Amino acid sequence: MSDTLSKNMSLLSQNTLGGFGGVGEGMALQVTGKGRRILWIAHEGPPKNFTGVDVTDPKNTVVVCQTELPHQKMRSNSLEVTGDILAVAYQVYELGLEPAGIELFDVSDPANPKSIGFHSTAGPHSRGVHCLWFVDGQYVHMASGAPDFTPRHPRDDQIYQIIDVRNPGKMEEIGRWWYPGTREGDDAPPPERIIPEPMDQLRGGDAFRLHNANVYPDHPDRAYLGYIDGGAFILDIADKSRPEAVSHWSPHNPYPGFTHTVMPLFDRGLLVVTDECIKDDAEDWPKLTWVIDARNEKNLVPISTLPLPPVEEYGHRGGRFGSHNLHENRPGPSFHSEEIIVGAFFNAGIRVYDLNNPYQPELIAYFVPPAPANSRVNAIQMNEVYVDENGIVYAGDRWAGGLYIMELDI
Amino acid sequence: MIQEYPDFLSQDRPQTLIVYGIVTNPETIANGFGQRPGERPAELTNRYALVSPVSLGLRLSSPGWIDISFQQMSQVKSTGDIFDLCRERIINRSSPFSKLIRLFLERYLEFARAQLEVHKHELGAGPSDNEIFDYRDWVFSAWLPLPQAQILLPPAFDARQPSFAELDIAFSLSAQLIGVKIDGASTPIKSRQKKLNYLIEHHPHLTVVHVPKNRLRDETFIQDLFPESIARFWQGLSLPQGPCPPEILLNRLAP
Repeated sequence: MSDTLSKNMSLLSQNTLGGFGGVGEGMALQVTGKGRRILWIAHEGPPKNFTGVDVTDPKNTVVVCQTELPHQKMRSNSLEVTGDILAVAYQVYELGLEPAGIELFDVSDPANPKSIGFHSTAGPHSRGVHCLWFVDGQYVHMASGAPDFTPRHPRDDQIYQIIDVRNPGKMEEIGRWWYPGTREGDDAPPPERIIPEPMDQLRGGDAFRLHNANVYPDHPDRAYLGYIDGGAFILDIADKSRPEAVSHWSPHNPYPGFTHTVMPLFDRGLLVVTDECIKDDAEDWPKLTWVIDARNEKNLVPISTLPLPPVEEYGHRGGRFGSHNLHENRPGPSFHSEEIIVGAFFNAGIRVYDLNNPYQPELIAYFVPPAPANSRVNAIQMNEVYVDENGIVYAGDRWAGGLYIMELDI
Repeated sequence: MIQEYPDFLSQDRPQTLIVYGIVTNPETIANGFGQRPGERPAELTNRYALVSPVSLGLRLSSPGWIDISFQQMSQVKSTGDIFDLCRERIINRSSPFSKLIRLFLERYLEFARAQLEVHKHELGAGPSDNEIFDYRDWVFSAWLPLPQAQILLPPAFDARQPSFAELDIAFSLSAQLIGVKIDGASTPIKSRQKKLNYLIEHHPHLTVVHVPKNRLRDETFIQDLFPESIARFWQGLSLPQGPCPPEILLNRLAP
């Protein structure tokens, strides 16, 4: 595929991040005291830790900061910014390695991030943090292993943890929750595996562990969890020291697992739930984005899915094809809509849906650029997406294309 | 022809088409007007209202918006039963996923009913076996809320196709149109905002009331944001009238 496919979206610029254009699952926008707009970007893997891009002029972006990881057996796949504080997730490739956990940086001078705290979750059964959520300046909600957590299955290691970061120099875990039956010693039986895979491979599917935890400041008593093969959970976290499950929904099986994001649309009583595609060439097709009727949060009912292009057209274009990250309506300089959903769909690019009628979601815009130079696969792999308050869309390619900035014309 | 559609900017016969309720494609309703051009009287159906500057306004008692079968009517035993039926029908005209609109409707309708208790002496206290009407019957004189209103823009906005500006709720009062926008945290969508801006700028009789989302959590209706006529809806009327009146009565009441 050599041409861009698009509808109601146009490219403003691309930045390959100095040749390190593999973008992970973290993008967050900082507006500095001087009005500069810095997009912080996580990387898919080493050697880079995170990159700050000045996107004040979205047509002429400049990398202002790019940091290195301490070693090559780790990644910092996820990050968030609140105010001038950047939180970065550290995950290691082998159990027990360090550093694993979260690090906070003061980025008031974006060119010179200053570390202000580190919270370790390293341990004999821990890979550290895969994904984190930090939008209120007070708590990090994250998927992490822990030194004192022994999973029954090695891939079920990353559980929901709430970290109080109000004192960055002394961060502290104040609550945790895991899928019943996944911890050694649990009374509940272990969950039945969806698609069993060899136990010696730490990465990948066949996992009952947390991916995303979304907690919104205007509804601080609820956490929305994408628990990979365990499906979607709503937790009551009014008492952060004792999270309790309110409800659970999972399409697995027969659907092939990997619930990634659970995004609530509070004013409409809906959830948007993604199942991440994790295999190339559509081997795990279909990986859908589900629309869930959550008017009764104790009885979650799927009512539709976001329409994807035909698998015969996209399945074998190269790389992955299917759902992944969403723009998550986070607070801050961020687009917020309960009707317009923007998602990253790997080789199907960035796709925008109108959920006005949630029974019949409608595709209203998309942007599918050609495969970037030096990519491992012969197609774009849109991995992450963020939309700012002006409707400017920032998206990242998983392998090489770096940052794409688009204007949305809807 | 789009030029034949209702046009609130028309010099000789200005009319406003308000499509309301769960209507995915309002164009189909507008297109119906193109197929029968010419003089159009004011009209109220269960999917749209056609109003003009000389319309009397739309109330719960206005015929056309609610269809109550003879069987249903035979089962109602009181004013309260009919009002509850009206409330249920109005709320069900909005999407089940429009929680804020539904909350507004509930607050507004409860407010209308409560207003009668507050002003019952002004309205003539009842009930009395000797009176035909009870003060509670005035509740059907409350202005009819049209949820999820889509207002047809004139060809001057776009002559190629019908375009609609969206309001969360619309009220047609005598010679005045009130649009309600519930303001939350949502980022405006450019194309929708452009249509709404055009409507606000050009409609000669429209007032838009912005209701902050958090005010809907108030226990009482946000009366202070609306004109007095919303609250004292019975003023200017001589008698109350129920919804869905028999045709023969309508003909006798007609001026």
